[in-house]
Amino acid sequence: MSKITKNEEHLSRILEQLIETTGEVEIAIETLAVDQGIPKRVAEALACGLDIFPKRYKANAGTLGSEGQKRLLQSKVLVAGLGGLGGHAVEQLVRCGVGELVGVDADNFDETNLNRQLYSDINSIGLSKTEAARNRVAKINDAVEFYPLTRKLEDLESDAYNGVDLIFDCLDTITSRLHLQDIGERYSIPLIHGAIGGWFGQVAVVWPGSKLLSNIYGTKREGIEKTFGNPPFTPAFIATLMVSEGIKLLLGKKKRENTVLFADLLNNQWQYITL
Amino acid sequence: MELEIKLFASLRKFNPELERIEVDDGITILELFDKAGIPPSEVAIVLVNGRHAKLDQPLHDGETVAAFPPIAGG
Repeated sequence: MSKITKNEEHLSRILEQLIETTGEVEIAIETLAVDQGIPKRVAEALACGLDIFPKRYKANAGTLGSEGQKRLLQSKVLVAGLGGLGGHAVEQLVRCGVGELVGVDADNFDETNLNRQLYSDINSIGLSKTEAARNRVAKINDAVEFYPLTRKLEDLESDAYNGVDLIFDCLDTITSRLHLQDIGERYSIPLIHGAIGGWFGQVAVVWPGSKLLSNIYGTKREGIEKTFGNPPFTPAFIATLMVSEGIKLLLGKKKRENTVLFADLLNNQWQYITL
Repeated sequence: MELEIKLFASLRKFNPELERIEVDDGITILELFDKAGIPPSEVAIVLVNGRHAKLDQPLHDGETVAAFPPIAGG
């Protein structure tokens, strides 16, 4: 038995006792975290290990199961790009209870973001997108740890990827997306790719080594969003598909295949292709 | 020979009614796009019968050509 498992068993017994004496799961989790000096997400994962759901995840229970919820709480996801797709992705990942989130974006909000970027509002114009995301995460779930990196993806150090299980590609240029593909390959981390333009969008899992993004974009370095712009509903829709794909992957429910889903919201057409 | 064409997303606007097209035998994908009025610069992915294809690939009677534009916004 490993040290971690022994410690986990020990902490689980303490948590059981705390639940019994306090009669309240949330208080028991809080107490365990403070007394033992462990992150709250770890205490919540221990509760799930006892098949006990903290109230904030109760509505996830039937879908994720306690093992699944525990796994998400023990997962770390990096979201590259906190704009149209990234804002919605963070919102859902934190509500799913993914334990650690790294948010990467170098930009501040401006007025042109207001139509679609979830964390932009009149008061956040000029605020960095990472700061806005951190504020929002703290309001939704204080057990989730959010690490803001207010830098361009290209300027990240290798330690930004330490312990990262999954990367969300919510970027907005083909060049930076291809850079992210290289990073996924270098550190053996799969990507959940999403992209939008006008009424249209695409979602794919990019497995390390698959070069799927290279196959999608070929020699193209500019997308149709330059012509069509980005209305509010397309990023919300595509980010939702990305999160459901990401959750399945974290729960070990995705098999390795190089498939892209194209969504045409104008004609309500959905096309899966394998590259 | 006759080909089936599936234009996706923004590519439909170049030839909205196009579903089938009569072409010369051995025509390549690039020549097909030229004949159908689809600018190759707007196309990122081409599939022939569901398989990834290059623009200089010759086509055969009854094949289905599907084309997708590059989408990259976030």
